[in-house]
Amino acid sequence: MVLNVLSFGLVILLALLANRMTGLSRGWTGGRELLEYPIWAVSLGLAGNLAISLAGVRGKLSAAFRTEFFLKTGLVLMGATINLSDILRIGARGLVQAVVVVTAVFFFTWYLSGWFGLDAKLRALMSASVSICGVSAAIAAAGAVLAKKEHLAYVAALVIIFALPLMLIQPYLAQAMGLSADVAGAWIGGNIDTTAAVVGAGAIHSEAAMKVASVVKISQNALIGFAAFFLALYWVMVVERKPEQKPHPRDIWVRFPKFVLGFLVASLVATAGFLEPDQVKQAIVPLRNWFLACAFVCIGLELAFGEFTKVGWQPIAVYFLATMVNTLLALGAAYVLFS
Amino acid sequence: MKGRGYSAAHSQQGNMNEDWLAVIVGLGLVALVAVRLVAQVPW
Repeated sequence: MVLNVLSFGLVILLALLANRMTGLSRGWTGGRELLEYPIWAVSLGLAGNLAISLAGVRGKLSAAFRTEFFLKTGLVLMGATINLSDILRIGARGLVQAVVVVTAVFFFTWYLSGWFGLDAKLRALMSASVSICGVSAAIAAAGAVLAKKEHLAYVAALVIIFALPLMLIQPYLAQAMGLSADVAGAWIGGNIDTTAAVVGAGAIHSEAAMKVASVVKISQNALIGFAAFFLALYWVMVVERKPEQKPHPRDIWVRFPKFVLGFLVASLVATAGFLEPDQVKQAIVPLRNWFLACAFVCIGLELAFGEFTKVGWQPIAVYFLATMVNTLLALGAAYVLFS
Repeated sequence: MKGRGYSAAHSQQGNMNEDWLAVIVGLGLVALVAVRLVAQVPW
């Protein structure tokens, strides 16, 4: 109990510090933010990770390092800041983009990792995580192919180590390329694997890009159930040849990320007029930012550096090449569908 | 890399529970703002 409180306190303290640093840095630069709050939050999370790892208490203090919970709550709150018609407009294009890019990147990664001689279950986890939505997709794929726990831990670390540089570079690259907020958001949402880093990169670019990036990523998230179902079906029918273990279609609903429903309900509440614009600006947006700041802090705190010592260079090379292909495909799809 | 067989059911279940908890907390906060029990949050 005491450790849970300490763990939660550490997350809150670092989120408060990230908020404070963002405000202070604004003072240093005469009003312009030196670094956006997601960068401060992730950096402080990484610093905290290093400090508690060196002190040997990281394992004991990890109870409240819940990136997914903070992120999903932030996304539900974000739903109340976006009109439902905008969600449907962006989401429809996002689904088209997701189906095209996810399918191409999944099979590219699958065959590339086979060419590199990786373990079949690790290939499934890596293909799902790089093509769909990072750690969540890796967890769903691990369930579909009954992967080893070590594979999941390794892929989760791989996802974060690749997502962090993209989160920092891609928004500035989009600005340098002169992309509109819609195209930049769709590119970020279609490329970066893990949803938390997508929201972070979007926030670094602009509020408008963050909303588009989040809706596009949520469209991808909504496909997890289908992807896991077909992966499990392929696994038992083709790889293991055990047709009696065929997955049931209800698994699609079981694996469907329920926070998507909360996101839509929150948008419906706002669109139906139950929230005034002032209420959204003065309460919902700050609450959303606090939950997202905690999620960004947790990304830094959860990164397990030790995982990279457990496997060779091949998975890292595969992930790097797959990420490059994903980046180019997502840019093309974003440009065609959102410009 | 060696490791024991892993059903992933535990992670899957944890992920789903977190999903529902996020929905409850998120929509709960939206409701508190809608009925003006929460009016202003500093950021």
